[in-house]
Amino acid sequence: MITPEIVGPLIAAAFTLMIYSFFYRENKAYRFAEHVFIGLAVAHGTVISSKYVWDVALSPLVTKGEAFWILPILVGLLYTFFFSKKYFWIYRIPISIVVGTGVGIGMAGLVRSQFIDQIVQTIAPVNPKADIWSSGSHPINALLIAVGTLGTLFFFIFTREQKGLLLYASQIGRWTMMIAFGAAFGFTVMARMSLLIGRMQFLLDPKGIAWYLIPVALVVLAVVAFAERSKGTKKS
Amino acid sequence: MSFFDKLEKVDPRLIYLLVFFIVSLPLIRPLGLPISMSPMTVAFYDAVEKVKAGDVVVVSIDYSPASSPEQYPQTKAVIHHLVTKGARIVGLGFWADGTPFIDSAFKDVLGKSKDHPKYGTDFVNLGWIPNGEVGMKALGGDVHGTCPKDYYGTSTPTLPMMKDVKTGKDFKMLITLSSGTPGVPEWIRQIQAQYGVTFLYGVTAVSAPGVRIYFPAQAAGGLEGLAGAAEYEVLLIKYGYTGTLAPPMDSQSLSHMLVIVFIVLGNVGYALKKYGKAK
Amino acid sequence: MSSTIRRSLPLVITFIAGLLAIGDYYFKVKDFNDFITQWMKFVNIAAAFAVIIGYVTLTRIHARRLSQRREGWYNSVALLVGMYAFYLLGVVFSEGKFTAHPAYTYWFNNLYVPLDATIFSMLAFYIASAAYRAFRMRTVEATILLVSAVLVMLGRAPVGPAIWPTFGPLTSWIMAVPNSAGMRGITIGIALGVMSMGLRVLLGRERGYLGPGA
Repeated sequence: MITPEIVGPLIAAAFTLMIYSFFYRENKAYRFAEHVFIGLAVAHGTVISSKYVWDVALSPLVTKGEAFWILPILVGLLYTFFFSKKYFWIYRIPISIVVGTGVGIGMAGLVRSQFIDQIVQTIAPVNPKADIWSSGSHPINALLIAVGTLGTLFFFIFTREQKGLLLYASQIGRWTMMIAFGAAFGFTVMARMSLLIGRMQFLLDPKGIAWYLIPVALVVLAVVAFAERSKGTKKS
Repeated sequence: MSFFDKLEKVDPRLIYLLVFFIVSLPLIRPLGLPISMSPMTVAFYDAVEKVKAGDVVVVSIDYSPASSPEQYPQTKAVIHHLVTKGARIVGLGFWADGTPFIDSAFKDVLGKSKDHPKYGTDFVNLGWIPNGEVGMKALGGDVHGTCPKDYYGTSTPTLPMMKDVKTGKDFKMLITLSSGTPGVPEWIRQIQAQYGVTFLYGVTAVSAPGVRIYFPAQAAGGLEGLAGAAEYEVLLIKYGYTGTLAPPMDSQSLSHMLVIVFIVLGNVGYALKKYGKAK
Repeated sequence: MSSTIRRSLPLVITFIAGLLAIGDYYFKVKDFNDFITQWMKFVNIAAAFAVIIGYVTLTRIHARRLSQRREGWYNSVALLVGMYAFYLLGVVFSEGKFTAHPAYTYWFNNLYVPLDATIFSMLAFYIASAAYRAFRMRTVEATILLVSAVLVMLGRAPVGPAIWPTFGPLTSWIMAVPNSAGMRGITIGIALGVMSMGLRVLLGRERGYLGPGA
């Protein structure tokens, strides 16, 4: 019995394998799946934006007569002047509002949370009883963090020639950053592998039906590879 | 051509095949490696343990389907823990393609979402809010005005639990499950710093090193990637949570070993070549 | 409208919008703060319309590709069909439920989520290939980076502590101390850079965000 619960995962598995076919070589199935994804992504963003505009502005305007909401809708519609050569400058009005507001909000919040608070944490009181393996407030760790943070900041001083003490401080900063970037790389490997593991869990789930398509995909791949080999042998 | 020269020129498709097998094998036949605990996960768990029945906790889904293999397990575990503690959960999100996961998570943990008898009294789904950090600021200033209707089209002020949730001051705790921007720094700037809310994060492993600097002064704890989710599941066993991440963590182990072997092989070959030329 | 006004008006708007946002952060005056809260909602609505540009641009490009029967035109059909069908399903045929409609959720979970997740999962193969081909300990710094990476990879997966229990605490220490130090220094530097860039945007010295010809 063909039900949506069977068809849905089969479609998901089919598109998953179409994307993975790229690893054999660039092919039409991959391109098709990629284009479908782009279309869906843009559509989803538009649908969810439409819901928000309806809920917050259009619905009160239409059902309760709150005329105020016509203003943001009209300002939002100014984005459509992006497509006009003559009146392109009007498109800059909503951009200015959004960017100006975003920049102002970001700057105001940044000063405290990513500048002052970070400096305060670097010079925060130490706790000798803290765990040395995991706590930055253990005295040795706190000293190393302070030295490393200062070294990193000194590394980015480009307005003076880096020599003498500045050079040594900058070198400490380099090593600190290399350890940090190494940790970042290790976590990046972890993240990327997790994404693949998630897809493999879906494809190989014995309780699901996605795995039925794997032998089908392998057969298709084998036939394509064999056909290519034969073409290659005939030409030579 | 030397052995290492041949190895250097191997077809990348063989590498891809090796990765595929190494990742797949433990999913078919798990190794059963014990999951070790990270202090960040323990801190996250301890913070949620302090939540009292009736506390309003905002759970923000700020990730896309691309990060869902890491972060959807975090989402389910977090919601399960909060439900166990009797918290009142406000689900929302700032990523358009992550918002449907809120509904899915409620369905997976509670069986139903909108049709659940306790929807509106114990949990709500406010859906997507646009414009990133500006939206967060608007939310903190006026929750009802920023989200006049929930994800299902119901008027927010009519939901019983939302009568007590009007501004950022009414949030007891904020948990963001985030894979980029807007995410942890934006929430800290606009809500945690402004209203002094207890803040926790669950991030994709890529973001973990960058957001560690906020612990412990601004963030009380964090779940870092799939490993963080697996560790959290282990801690939730006492609340009857059945985790599913032991085999994937075995895959993680083998895939990490494979990458390390690749790095070592590549560098041994490089060193031998360099040393051979120097001679 | 004169070209001076056309060029200056967006810059003035940016400056005022930025000042309002900064003012709200530092001045706690009830009426002003309430006005800014309403203003933020206004900005949210206006920002939501930006998706129109993407939608119309993609339609133009792919409709042209289709009409001219360029190579791969059938992919453009797939894109346009996917885009419009999904939009109609979510807005027109969803009975007012938008993304909460069961049919929309069904296609979102069985088509969009697998595609997005699979495309990003391809990175796992590339990172393994890069580890094999490109990551070389050419300098002392590169060696430090790779040693740190190896220690973290071992410590954060169950296999590391299974081989040697100290891998776990070692990874915790790397994350708590040198990683925090490096990232904190970089964050402080970024904060300074963002503040100076923000000032440039608000004062009209930086106009890139306004598009070509600004």
